[in-house]
Amino acid sequence: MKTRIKELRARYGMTQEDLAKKVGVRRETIVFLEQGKYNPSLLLAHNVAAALKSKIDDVFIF
Amino acid sequence: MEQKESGKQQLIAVAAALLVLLSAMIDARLSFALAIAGLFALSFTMKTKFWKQAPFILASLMIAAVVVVVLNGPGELSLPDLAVGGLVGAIIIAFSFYRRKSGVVLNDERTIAIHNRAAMYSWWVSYVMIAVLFWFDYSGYMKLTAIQFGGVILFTMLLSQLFIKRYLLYRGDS
Repeated sequence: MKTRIKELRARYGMTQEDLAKKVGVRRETIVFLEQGKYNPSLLLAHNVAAALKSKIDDVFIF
Repeated sequence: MEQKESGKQQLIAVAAALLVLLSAMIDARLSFALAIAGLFALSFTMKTKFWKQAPFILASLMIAAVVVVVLNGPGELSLPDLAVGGLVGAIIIAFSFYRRKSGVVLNDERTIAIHNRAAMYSWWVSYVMIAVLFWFDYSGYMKLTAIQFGGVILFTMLLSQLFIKRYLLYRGDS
């Protein structure tokens, strides 16, 4: 699964650490999400999308 | 404020460890009693409920006992060694609580899922190991005592879980 997390993160000047803190996960989880190597739960996907002020569909490309 | 309190707890833990080490030189029973008292005191200084930590403290004592038995050989369980081992385990647990309190996320949904998968794979590895050892013993190819059998399974479970977890942590799930 591809994601636009990196692009959206850059838009809002957020580091991986910042995003991880906002959604309450480890930084490594954000790294794996960005690389498309981890399928998040619906709750995490929602939280990441909310932290990036976007919709889930805009962040995660199914 | 909370970080200051955690810092104090760490200092207390280190002081307690030194006290146990010193008392171990004087008397084994005194050292053991101090270590147990220290474990309970440590758990009560934490803000989380004691009963949530009790299994971890008992587990650290058990692991310490096994390590001591393996290092010294069966029947050579030294109380000071056990006490110090248990306290070291408690300090490690206290440190992880301190890190969690300081805002570091130690476990999230990904690591919990990986931990569970590693436990499942480890169970299967151990099952295969039990089967192999059983048939080796049954066929007379290798005679094992109960202690040897238990020791092999104990370390197979522990190490396979750790290695599989480490592998899965560095590999994506899709």
